[in-house]
Amino acid sequence: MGLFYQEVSIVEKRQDHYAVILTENIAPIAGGWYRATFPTGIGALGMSLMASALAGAGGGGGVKTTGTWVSGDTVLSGIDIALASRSHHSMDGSAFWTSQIAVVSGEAYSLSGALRFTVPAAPAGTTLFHAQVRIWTSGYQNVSTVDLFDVGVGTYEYEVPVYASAVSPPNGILTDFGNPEATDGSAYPSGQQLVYCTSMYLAFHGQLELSYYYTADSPCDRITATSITSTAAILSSPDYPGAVWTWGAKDNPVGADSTDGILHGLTGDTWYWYKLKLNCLDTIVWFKTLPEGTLYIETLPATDLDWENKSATLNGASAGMEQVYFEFDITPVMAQKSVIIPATDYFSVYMHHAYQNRTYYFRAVGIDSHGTKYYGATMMFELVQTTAADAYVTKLIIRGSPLVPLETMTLTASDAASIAKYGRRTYNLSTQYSLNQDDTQVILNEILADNKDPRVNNLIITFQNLKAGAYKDSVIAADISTRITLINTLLGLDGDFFINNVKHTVIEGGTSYTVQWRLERIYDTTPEP
Amino acid sequence: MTANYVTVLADWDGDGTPEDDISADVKTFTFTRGRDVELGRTQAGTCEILLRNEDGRYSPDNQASPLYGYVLPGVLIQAYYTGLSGIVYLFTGKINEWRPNPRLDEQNCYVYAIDGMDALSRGTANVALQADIKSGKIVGDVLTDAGWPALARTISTGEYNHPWAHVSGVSALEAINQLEALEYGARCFVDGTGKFIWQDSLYRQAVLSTLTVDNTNTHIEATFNLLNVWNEITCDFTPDAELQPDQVIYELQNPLKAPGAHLVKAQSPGGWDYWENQPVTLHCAYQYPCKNATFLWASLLYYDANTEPDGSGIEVPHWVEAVVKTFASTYAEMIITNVGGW
Repeated sequence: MGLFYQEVSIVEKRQDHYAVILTENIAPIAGGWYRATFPTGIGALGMSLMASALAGAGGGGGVKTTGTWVSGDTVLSGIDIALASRSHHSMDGSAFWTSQIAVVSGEAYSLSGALRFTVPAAPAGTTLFHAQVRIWTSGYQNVSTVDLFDVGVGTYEYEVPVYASAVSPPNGILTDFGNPEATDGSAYPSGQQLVYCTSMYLAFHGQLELSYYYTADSPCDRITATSITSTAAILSSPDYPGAVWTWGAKDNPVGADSTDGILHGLTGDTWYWYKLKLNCLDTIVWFKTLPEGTLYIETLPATDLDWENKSATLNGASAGMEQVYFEFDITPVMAQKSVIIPATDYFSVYMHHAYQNRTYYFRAVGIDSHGTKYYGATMMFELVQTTAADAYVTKLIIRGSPLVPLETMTLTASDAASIAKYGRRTYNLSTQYSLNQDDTQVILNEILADNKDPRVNNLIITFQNLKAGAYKDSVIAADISTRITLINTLLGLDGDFFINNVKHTVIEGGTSYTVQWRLERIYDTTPEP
Repeated sequence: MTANYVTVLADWDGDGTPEDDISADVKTFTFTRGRDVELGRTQAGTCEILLRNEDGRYSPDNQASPLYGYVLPGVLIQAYYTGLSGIVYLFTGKINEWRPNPRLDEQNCYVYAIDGMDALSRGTANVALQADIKSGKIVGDVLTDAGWPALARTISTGEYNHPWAHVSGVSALEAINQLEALEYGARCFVDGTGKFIWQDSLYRQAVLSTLTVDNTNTHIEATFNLLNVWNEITCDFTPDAELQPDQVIYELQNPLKAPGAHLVKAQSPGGWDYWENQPVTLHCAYQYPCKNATFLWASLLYYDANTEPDGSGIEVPHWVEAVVKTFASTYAEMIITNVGGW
């Protein structure tokens, strides 16, 4: 016995109505379940299943015992489809139960989760047929967005599902539906084979991925993607016990979409093991065939336990898990932390050396499709750092293109008359920059010409309490290298100067404003504009 | 804003925009910038403010002050004058010093601020060796090396061609001051908005007089003396230099110890000890200024490491990372980190 697990499309997502039809025309399977998952702030209070029943085992061509859709909290005629509790008590899971009660009592929506109910068994002699699943509220709350609606179809039973005709049963029987390679390879000689399928009881809506192999002795265009879609109901009902399904595949991959799903083969074709994808209703996202008994999770020791490289990878394997993660530091004294591992079949966690020099406890945790946790064994790692070793850089070379100076000399500009009159007064132009010799000499000559004779220096002009107006504004705005014309008859000055230094003194925001400039005369060596 | 008024703004929140008006507290405000003497060097602009402080709001340690926690060195201030013709920015700089005076007959706070030239004098400038460039390019490179914003500068091209130029081992301000001295007539300063100005030796030739000053409203001091008489001008000069082909410009002379990581003990109960690398900085001085200096650490032709200083141990170049911190024209700095010696 195994479990199917499906996801189906949500027929309707409405947030402005007290009830939302999640799906319809489904074929509920007794023992299966329906679940709707909500984001934070759910407004949903219950789910219901509206179903009718068809009389007659096998159901095909049966007649409705009742022609009226009725809500799930009403007992259908002849069918006890009532959920474990009626109405908004229909979901299972005690946590949600409490939550729903809180919502009903008007408290804030702060919960997320899911509602789920289990499909009851159909009455004897009837089969659950068309059904519709609704999610609904108490009538005054809108149904929040449904993130996910999925279906657990229920039990999936098969016995000797397929076998090859080239050998007589029981030889060559595919005993493991999910792992045909593990079976007797002699059952699959090259060439064509007829494959029988007996007691197949499949119930699914959507894409089904089957990893097994068949050969065929006849063209297999009978089952194409289209026909698979249309035959989903056939496959999903027990109407064809002992039916013979024949199909095969050439060595072309079968894709996920229907156009790639056309399978056909001719006599004489060579057949291979094949991954066959049946795209039935375009709604199944994934499918598991693993029986419950194979669910497991385990953690393997780190690949490098001596921590030579101060890091290690902890590997693990699982089966049947929806999600796997590591918990570490799970001793009582430590805060539990977890690392989500994206893969579920094989997973690993990398420990960087930054976490070394202490003791870790690890445990791999898996969660199956029901939310059940499976714990791997607890492992302990003591990561001990060895003494840090020194290294010595023994060789280090830098390359480049050196600029090698060839000669160094001292350039001079001097004025003999000035030296005779005032003594030797030397100004050394000290700089790390070099111009060419001619330019450097020009500069020295200019400095000499401007400074070889005494002149007015440190000419300081001070303005005090200028009257407000354009002139005052100009004086305040004047900055370094502003050129002014200075006329002072008593000093005999009448010429242009540059400002070399400014100083402003302001008292009480401007009630007193003093501006002072230090000026430099325009020299002959500075050409007039 | 009232005309003929000086507004002083502070940037308390440190977002780079002075927008908090403290003008009402300003008793006196003084700033100055430029050269003191004609052949001198441009100094950093400075500003002195005397603030009213009766309530102690400008006392850095006064927890009752609404400005507590903000009255710190480094606060950006800006002052501007609103005249009839518009706004004139006077000074932009950072506060260097707060000096509150609690005496009852004072109760003020003296503030000393300095403009961006000061920041240029703090760090060492490094400009790679370049050929055939003018002063404006050199100044721009120095400012960029010092982290001066590109939009806060006005740079003249420069008059003379420098066959070779590099900056190394001096502060950015010193590098620019030397250029200012060599390019006779050039000026540099930080203006009232905080923008760096480089005026080359040709700049003033194009400037016309915009103001006439006579005896009215002015006080003039004129001095005649020998202080600025220079009749012999000298300059040490290298007339020629030759760029050599690519070659080894630095080679490690003695083994350099790259210590392994050390264990840092947890400081708090329950904390985790952790290992911390111990990088060292290697200063690699060249014999001559160099162009295109490179270090190919990945190649054992240029680099090697061993567990023993004499090379007799295990070769462990993969333990050691060598990252170039600086390729200056006269030296390189390498950050050596032992990341694998565990």
